Amino acid sequence: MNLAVGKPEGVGLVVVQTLRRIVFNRRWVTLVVVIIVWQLLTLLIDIDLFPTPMGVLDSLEDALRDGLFFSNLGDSMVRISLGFGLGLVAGTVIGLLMGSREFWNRFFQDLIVLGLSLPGLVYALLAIMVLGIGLAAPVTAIALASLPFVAVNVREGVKSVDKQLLDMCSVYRIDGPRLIRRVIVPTLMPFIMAAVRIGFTVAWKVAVLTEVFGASTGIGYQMRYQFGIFSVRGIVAWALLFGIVMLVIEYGALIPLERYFDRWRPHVKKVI
Amino acid sequence: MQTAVSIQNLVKIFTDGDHEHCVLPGLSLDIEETAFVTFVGPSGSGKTTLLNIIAGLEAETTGSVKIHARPGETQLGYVFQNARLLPWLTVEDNLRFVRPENRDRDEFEKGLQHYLELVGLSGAGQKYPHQLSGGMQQRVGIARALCVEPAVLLMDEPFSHLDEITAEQMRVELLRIWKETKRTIIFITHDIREAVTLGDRLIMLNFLGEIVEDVPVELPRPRDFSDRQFIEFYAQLVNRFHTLQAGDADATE
Repeated sequence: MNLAVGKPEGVGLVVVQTLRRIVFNRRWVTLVVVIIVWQLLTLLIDIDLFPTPMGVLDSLEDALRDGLFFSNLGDSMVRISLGFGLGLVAGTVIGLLMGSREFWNRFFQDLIVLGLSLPGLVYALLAIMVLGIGLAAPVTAIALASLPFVAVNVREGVKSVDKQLLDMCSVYRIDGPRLIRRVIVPTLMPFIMAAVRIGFTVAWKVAVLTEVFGASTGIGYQMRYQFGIFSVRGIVAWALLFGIVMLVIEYGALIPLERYFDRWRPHVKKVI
Repeated sequence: MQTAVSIQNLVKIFTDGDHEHCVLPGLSLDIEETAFVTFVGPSGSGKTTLLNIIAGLEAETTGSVKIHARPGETQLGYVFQNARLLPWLTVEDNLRFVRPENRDRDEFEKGLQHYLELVGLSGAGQKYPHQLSGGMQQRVGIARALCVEPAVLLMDEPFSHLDEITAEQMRVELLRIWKETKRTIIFITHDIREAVTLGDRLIMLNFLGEIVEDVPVELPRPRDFSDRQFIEFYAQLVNRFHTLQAGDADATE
């Protein structure tokens, strides 16, 4: 039996396999089922405001026209990058202190628990009331909301530094930058990646909240605008675009980064 | 013959609250250069504490340890029970990691390749530790210790985690490496047969951390443990070891 006849080879094979993987990906089933159920629901539920898939598609077109979506996305991204960057740096410093010094662990412990449990809305409202409308409010709110998630993860990372490896380093008189670069940072990396993943989603949510209450641009502002004109399908369309951006960041940046830092590990479980 | 290590009246007392526990009650000995010294003793006899004090991982209570390194030598190489490699670095990078800061880079690189070959891993330089078997990881640990050109090579039960067949191969390899590098080796084990197979001087510690035997092992090499001389020597030491255990049982009653 020779099945190989007419089968593509070399580069062609890779292209065909990749296309096949995209076309026959089980995730499409999810998408198709969601759209069908959605369409059926609009037929069953007779409320004018309940949007149909086609209606949302119209709104998507509106949002994408004249680069409206991308300019607002850009504004949101600036706030998120600044805020989350700040939260990441401050959270890492606090996490390092908490992991290595019992005094600082006790000092920050309750604050961190409080910070983890406060709803993002609290940060958003307070920041706007105190700092007014402008860049400072969203950046501060995002930084404060994401910081505790980063600190907790980094603290666990510091605790997991292998004592036996530190002893080995001490025998070979290795300290300072070499110890940090070769032992501490590689140990912390998976924890920091986890922190980035959680912290980033928190940052997004808080960014949107501050924009709803205190901005004239950004994804959050656009959602409030859609709310103002009572366009359900508009909000759904913007949320959908927002979700797509998150997926692009996940697959385009976070997962490749994780793979890179995990390259030395035996059998990394495939995520996609 | 020059002295590589001199230990003077070494005392180690652990304090746990009000309770004091003496591990080493004043140990003195000299170790000659190029000697292969094995320490045997029951667990709790302070073997590992002794090694950790020599390595500077623990501080002595009183007494002193002096290591006499020649110019160009580092004081110590240490081979641990498990290899303690950095899992995120390749074999070669694991060795480069321990380069003393005053050592020339090119020269170190030459030594690195030489020692990888010596432990039989010249092809595995680009591999990560998880791609190697336990025995091979331990070979990397030995190469790493040799790379720093140590005056003394400390080994803390380095083969106890390996299966017996691999451990036996490693013992043969270690003796070959010792012959070729002429390093001074301090080797700790709880296995008397291993100690007799390897060392040319055997030191036995009791539960109190006192030296109860310090004997030269004058059996011809390669040593065969089915040989009559070997068996007689081994049997003597085992008997001595059992009297220690019995003595301890009496003492604790």
